[in-house]
Amino acid sequence: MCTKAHCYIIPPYLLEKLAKHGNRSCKRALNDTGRIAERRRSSLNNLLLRNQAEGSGERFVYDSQNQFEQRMKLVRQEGQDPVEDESVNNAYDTSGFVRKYFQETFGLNSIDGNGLDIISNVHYGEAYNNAYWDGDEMTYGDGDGKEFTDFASAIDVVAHELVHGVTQFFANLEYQSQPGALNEHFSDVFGTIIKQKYLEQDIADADWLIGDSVVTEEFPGVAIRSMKAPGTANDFDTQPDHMDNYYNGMGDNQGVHINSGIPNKAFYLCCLEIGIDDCALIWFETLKALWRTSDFNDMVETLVSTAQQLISEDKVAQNAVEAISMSFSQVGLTPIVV
Amino acid sequence: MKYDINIEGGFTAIPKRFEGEVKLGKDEEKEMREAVSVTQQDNSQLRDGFTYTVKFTDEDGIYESQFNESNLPKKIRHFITDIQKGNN
Ligand SMILES: [Zn+2]
Repeated sequence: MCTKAHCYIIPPYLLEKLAKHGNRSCKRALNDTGRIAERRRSSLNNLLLRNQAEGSGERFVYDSQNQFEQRMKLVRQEGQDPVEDESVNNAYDTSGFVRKYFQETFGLNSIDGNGLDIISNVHYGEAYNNAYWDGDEMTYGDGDGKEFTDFASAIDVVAHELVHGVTQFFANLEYQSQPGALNEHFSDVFGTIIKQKYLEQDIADADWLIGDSVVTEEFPGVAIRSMKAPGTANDFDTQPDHMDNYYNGMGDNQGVHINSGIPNKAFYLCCLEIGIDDCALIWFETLKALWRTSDFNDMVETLVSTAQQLISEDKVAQNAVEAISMSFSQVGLTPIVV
Repeated sequence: MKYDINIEGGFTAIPKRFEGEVKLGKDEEKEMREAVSVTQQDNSQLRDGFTYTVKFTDEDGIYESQFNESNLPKKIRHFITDIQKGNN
């Protein structure tokens, strides 16, 4: 029996092992240990920084001017009027929408819960077909104009990248194999939720596509990924929608953008059962409870225990646990519900 | 000098490969080889960044290294951009 008191003196890697074997008190202790360590680190930092005040999550948009440089020229910041450059305005508006969603839905002050400023770099590089989060800020390319177009103007791309920040601060899921696929999954989940809110769609109207507005007509496909039908968004899309087709290769950090198709499909199925808002709350609370090395089974187990807790507080539908079980069973991840 | 560059990962996760041969001046070839050989700092919080596997082959040997968005040498970054634009 591992009591909470005993677990505190066990190194985190052992707690992770015990947590993986279903020891709930160890999992709780592991999460608490992480939080305590984080609190201790931030307390020390605060002492050093003389109690740095909570920020207000202000937006700063920089123009990379087609150089491969970040923070080159500040072109718009919080409260300033729109500028002529639509990429700048779009990055400003969409990042504001993401911030507002997390504030109004979960009471989160910016992406770290502590008012971290939201920094975007647009027009990065030449014909750069990508958008990324680097631990501090977002960077967007214009696309090559042949297959891809402005990444900064797509609400789901902006939300996806910002949520990598949220995941970094709340679960710090490592970026490889299953924890990495979960990292990608959370970004796609909140990317698609926020896109639906932005477009004022309900789940029946939504296309459940990720990145549909960054692909051109010449691109061989309709989007980058599909939550509803993983593996069908374009000719290169190899996402599985079931554990039977799990990618075991070394590419893409052991398939972080590939195997995310499995939980993505389960999320879509679960939304059909209990709605996207209940799923959003369950997934957000689950993210906060996960840890660096969490795998798919840890995720499913934590989703179930989180849903049980939220049902007891009357915050989500009474059938949420059944919905999660059914959805994940359909992708080959049947949870053990106790 | 022969080049073989693999770009994978990124938000789109669609891999790209560029293979070919370029004629470079002796000094420029040396600069490229040196750029591949320098050990780079890693940034473990990069998400959706590309991974660049760069391989150069000349009569003296094979030079290969892997980079990410935060540590790709400028020289190689511009070389790749030129290839993508069809300048090499
Ligand atoms: Zn991502």
